[in-house]
Amino acid sequence: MNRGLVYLLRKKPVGWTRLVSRRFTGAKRVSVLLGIGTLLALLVGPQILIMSQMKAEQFAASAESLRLWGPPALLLFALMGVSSGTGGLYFRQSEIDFLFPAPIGRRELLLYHVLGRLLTGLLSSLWLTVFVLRWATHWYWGILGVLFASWFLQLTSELGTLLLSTVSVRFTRWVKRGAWLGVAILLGGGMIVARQQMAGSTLLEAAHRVASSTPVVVVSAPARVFIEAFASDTAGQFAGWGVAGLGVLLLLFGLIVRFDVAYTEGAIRASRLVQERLRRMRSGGSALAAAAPGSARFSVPTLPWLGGAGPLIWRQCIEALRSVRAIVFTGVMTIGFPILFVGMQSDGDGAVSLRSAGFIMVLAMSVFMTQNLALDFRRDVDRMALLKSLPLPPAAVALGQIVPAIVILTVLQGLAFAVLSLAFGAAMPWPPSMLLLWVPFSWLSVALDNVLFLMFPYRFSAAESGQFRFMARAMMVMFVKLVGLLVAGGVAAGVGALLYFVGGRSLLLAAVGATIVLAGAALASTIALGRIFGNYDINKDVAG
Amino acid sequence: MIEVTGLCKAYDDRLAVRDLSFAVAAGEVLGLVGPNGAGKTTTLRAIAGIHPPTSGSLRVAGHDIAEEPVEAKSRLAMIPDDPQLFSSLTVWEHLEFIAQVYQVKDFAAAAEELLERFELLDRRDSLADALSRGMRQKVAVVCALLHKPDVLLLDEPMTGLDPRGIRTLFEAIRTRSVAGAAVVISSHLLGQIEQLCTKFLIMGEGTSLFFGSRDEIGHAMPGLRDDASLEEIFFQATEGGSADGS
Repeated sequence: MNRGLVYLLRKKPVGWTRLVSRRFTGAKRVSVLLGIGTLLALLVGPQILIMSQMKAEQFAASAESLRLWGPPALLLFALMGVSSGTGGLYFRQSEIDFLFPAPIGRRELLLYHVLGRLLTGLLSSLWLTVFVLRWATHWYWGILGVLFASWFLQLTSELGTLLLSTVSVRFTRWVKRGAWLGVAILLGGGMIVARQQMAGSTLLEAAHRVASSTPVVVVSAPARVFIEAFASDTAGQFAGWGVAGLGVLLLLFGLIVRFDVAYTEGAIRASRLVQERLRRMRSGGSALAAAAPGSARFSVPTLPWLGGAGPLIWRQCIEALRSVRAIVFTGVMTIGFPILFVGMQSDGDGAVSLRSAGFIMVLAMSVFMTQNLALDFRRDVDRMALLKSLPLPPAAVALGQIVPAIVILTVLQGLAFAVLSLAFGAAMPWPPSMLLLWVPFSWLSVALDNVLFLMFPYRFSAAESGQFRFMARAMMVMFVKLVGLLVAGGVAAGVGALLYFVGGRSLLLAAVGATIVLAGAALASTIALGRIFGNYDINKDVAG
Repeated sequence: MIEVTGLCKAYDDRLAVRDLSFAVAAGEVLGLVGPNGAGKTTTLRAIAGIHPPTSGSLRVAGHDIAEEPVEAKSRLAMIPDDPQLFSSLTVWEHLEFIAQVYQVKDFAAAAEELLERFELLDRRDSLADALSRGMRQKVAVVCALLHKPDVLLLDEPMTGLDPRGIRTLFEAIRTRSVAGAAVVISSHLLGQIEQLCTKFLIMGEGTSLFFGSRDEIGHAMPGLRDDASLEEIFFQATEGGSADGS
């Protein structure tokens, strides 16, 4: 390999560490480290606790479940990796500018690219380990198993992308759609057959039967070795599955490097698409921001003045309309997960409470899905100077910026509540009057997101994807936001409890009281948002 | 030094460059001008071996870019518009990297001299991420010049540069061309490149509208004054009108 490429690979980890340490200096570094440490402790701590409390038979049951669901899931992830690509290998713009015109062979460049991806896979697998380690019997085999599985995903994605780059862009789209249609037909058909064969079975039982069927077991065999390595009981077991896993990885690696296809043009196109996407999602990483703007065929009628907020709400509504695919995606996530969760429960003991938990999941979306509905200040990081120059009171700008996101979020949640009640007859785990809380809770969540964003503005640099920096920041923001929501929720709960006992055990009174407190907190946050926007220094708006 | 024969480049259904032919000899500086979407960047990228041509032949320093890409590329350097640097490398590490890629031995003295000339010596240990747009541009220029290329391709190189930087860049281009390099420079700043270039290629919609020295192009256009500026020639060639739009 060209010496320059070796030099770059060698410099990657050093440069990355240097870049991160330069970003976070002084108090910022301490606060970021504390935030990440706390969040990791919150994520890892309960898992270690669970592992330490689990008995041998529980480990066995967990491993059995993993061996059943793991291989098809891993294979599905691999397919998603290939199909979610942009039709070409992704190179950073700096790599295109410096390496493509350099005297470096195509295969050498490909080797550098794949090795770079595997190096990155080391980091991402460590991150992934945090979430899945509790299913491993031994943490050390678990970590290695995750690393191998992560490399498997990287290599299948690279190979799939290379294969797809041999066909035209238009044909690539059809190949991807065809592949997904095939998977959907296979799994959907399998589920229908399984349910017909097992009368009265639940979705979970039917899915169980599909996952253990011969076709699925055979197709997912290459992925199985990584799951087995992850779940190994002994060093001998790990050695066997690990060697098999390495064999699969080496085979994929060899195929990629030997596959001499003219990939550079596709790579430039793919990299440009990624750069454009990054530019669109500079502030957030949300599905909404990342989506390309849709057709201008439809518009929204102008709204009343509303103290100056009207024109801004109107503008955001138009943007929402042209990002309708991303909103539908958010909606599917908001509604789909709780429905899937409720649908998979059997009718046995505890089913009612589990179904009720679906409602809690929908409410939790107020906290987590706002990231994907960045239809507010976060999407306008490049337009802050324009917003500041508008002849409108800052509070009106603040309100106009966040109202559409609140409305969309609450409508999606309302739909989810309705579907849960109508389709599954799921009972709410609290009295209906408590549902009053849901609107101010979502409002508060969106307002807090924006307050934190204006206090610590951030956007992606066009030069680098900055995934780690974004991740660290997202974790910090989520942590602070959760604290804010907990404080407001705690006060609301306290007031609600007080009114409940003072008002003769009236739940309605308690709900109204708590709702007023939450609405007050949301209003205060919105007023604060206006103030922060009024004092916002656009020079703070720096590229990450 | 550069021979382009019948170059065609298509992106899916769109033909970006159509049957383009020209040559740039050693010591010549070719100004590549044309409106947006004329195919200038595509042409430069094809010569640099970044985009494979759909048809036609491209030779750089005697090597066919499609047949002998490594040999051809080792003789050229390209400065893209808005160059992106490796954000986690320092300025000096960029030069160290280039020296390794192009196998430049004992590069340190030449690198320091270039950094000094482009007023980057005090930023040699700065991370690229911390540099302004103009400084990034200067680093890209310095990297391109380090291995003394026989073919120098510059795509809108003046963007972001201060007047001193532009003057230094022009001096460096003249030095390279006097040393026998063929230079192709694409720019919209016609007044600035007019004195630098020995030949011009005016492109429109992917084809060559005119190719030759300023005088040759001027003579080929009836009704144009002998002392017509490049800007006037450009508007005459691309719109059939004068610089003021009449």
